Amino acid sequence: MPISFVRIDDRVIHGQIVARWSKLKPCHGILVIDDKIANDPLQKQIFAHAAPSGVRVGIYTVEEGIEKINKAKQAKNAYFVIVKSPVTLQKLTEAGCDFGREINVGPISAREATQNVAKGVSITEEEKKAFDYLSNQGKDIVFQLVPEETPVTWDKAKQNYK
Amino acid sequence: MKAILLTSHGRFCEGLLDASRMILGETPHLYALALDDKGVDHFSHALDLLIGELNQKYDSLLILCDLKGGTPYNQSLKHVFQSDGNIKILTGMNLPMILEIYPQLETAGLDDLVRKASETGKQAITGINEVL
Repeated sequence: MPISFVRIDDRVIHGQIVARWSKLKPCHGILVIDDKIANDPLQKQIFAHAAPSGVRVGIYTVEEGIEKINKAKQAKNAYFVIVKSPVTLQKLTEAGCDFGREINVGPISAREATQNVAKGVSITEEEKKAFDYLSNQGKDIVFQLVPEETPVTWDKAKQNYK
Repeated sequence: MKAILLTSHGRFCEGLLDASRMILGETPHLYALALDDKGVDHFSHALDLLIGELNQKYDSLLILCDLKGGTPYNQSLKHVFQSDGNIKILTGMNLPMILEIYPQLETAGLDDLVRKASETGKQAITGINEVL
């Protein structure tokens, strides 16, 4: 079973994932790949307990993530990959890790020096460049918080970045 | 003394608090905090303040949440893990579980309240009775 869903979401595992996406796409486990969370025992503990019953969560650094994604692709079960930033997916791609073509983008909070490009999504210059990189690598990037919403492509969303 | 804190996406928790009061009368040990459009950080900060305050006032706290894995739950979970066992959490909150345990806040232990809330909450999901 392949990686069934790749998501950029700065809330990581939350209502939109557990109540909607995990019902729509096969999900036996969730691989959270984020250096900061992986090195923070409390955050790690929280997200390990945030998945729906029966869904296992693994939290990894980018370096560990490369190996885990390759392993997950060989497994019988279907896995979600969740990262907080497109920069993480850029790092994975640069390291030769193939997580599939489709990338879904969920909420990314407004921060200092961010611009709003889609509903619930604000990005920095670095994140914009990462989206461009991923797009140039042939990834299909779609902004869609929940399945009920109309998807917006990166080509369209990037026009909102001035 | 123990307290109950309700947390949810939007104002569900405030509605449950309102409904509980309609049936039980005054409920001074029942609190509610909603995640709203102001976002996660705002909620997280408000939760830190409220739980800090409740820790001063009460020996232990039961947090009831709407959805396992949702943001109100995830943020509350932080306080559960940081506590010395005097904060417990349950998801799937409903009115019957609150009505069952609120009157027992003084007499029952925290673990007992968790068990009773869970049992009552599950039993409360039912259709019409079978007729003999």
